[in-house]
Amino acid sequence: MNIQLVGKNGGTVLLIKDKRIDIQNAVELREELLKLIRDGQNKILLDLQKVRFIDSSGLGALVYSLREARRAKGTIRISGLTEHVASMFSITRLNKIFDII
Amino acid sequence: MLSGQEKDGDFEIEFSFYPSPVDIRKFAKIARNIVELYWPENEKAGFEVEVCIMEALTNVFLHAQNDKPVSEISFRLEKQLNKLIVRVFDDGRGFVLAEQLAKKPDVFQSSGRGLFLMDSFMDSIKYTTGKNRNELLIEKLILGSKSV
Repeated sequence: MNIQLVGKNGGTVLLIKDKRIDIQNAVELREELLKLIRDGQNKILLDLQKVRFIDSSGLGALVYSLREARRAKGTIRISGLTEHVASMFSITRLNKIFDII
Repeated sequence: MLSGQEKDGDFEIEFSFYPSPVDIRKFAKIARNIVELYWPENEKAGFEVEVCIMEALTNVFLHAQNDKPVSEISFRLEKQLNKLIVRVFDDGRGFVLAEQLAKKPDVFQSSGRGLFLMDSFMDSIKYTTGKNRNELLIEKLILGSKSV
C-alpha cells in the first residue's frame, strides 16, 4: 500500500497512491489507518483521487476504520472520489456515513 | 489455465487457478479487458463486471471452501449476443442465495457486501448446489457491442 502523508492541517491528510483498494491491499490499508488512530491521529482526510477501483474488501476496510476513528472521537473524511469509486459509495450508501468532500 | 473459443462474435472462455488475492485481481482484470474488447462503448459495464468477478472469486476464496484446503477456482465467461454469462464454481458446502440476499447489509458493517453488489450490477443471479460442485450463475445484458 502506497500512502503519502501530505499534510496535517486540522487533521492528518493522506494521499492513497495505489490505483486500487481491493482484497489484495485492503487489510494493509485498514492496519495503517488503525495505527494512526491508536497514535491519536484520529481526524483523517483520505484523498482517493488516484484510486480507480474499489471492491467490498476495500469498502469494508474503510468502514471498519471509520468506526474505530469515531470510537476515538475522531472521523475519516474522503475527498477526490473518481467516477466508478463514487458509484460504489453511493450504491452501498457509504456516502451517507462518510463526510465526502 | 485458460481455454476457450470464439464463434460468430460470441465466445466462451474458462479459467481455473489456485486462488490467491493476487490472482483474483489478475483474473478480474482480464475479464474486464474482455468485456471492453467486445463492448468498447460501454466502459461502465467493464467496471461492473470486474467488481462482480472480484466479489464472486473472493467469496469462493474466503467462504465456500470451508475447512477443506483451498483447491482450484474455476469460472467461465460466455458472450451470447448482448448478454454476458458468468459462471463461478466452488466445491464448498454452498449456501442459500435468497437467504443471503435477504440480509440487507447494514451500512456500518465491515463485510457482507459482495452478493449485494453482484445483485445490484447484474441482471440475474442464481446459485445451485450440486453433488460435486456448486455454481453461481450471473448474467448481464450489455449494450454497446461492436457489430459482427
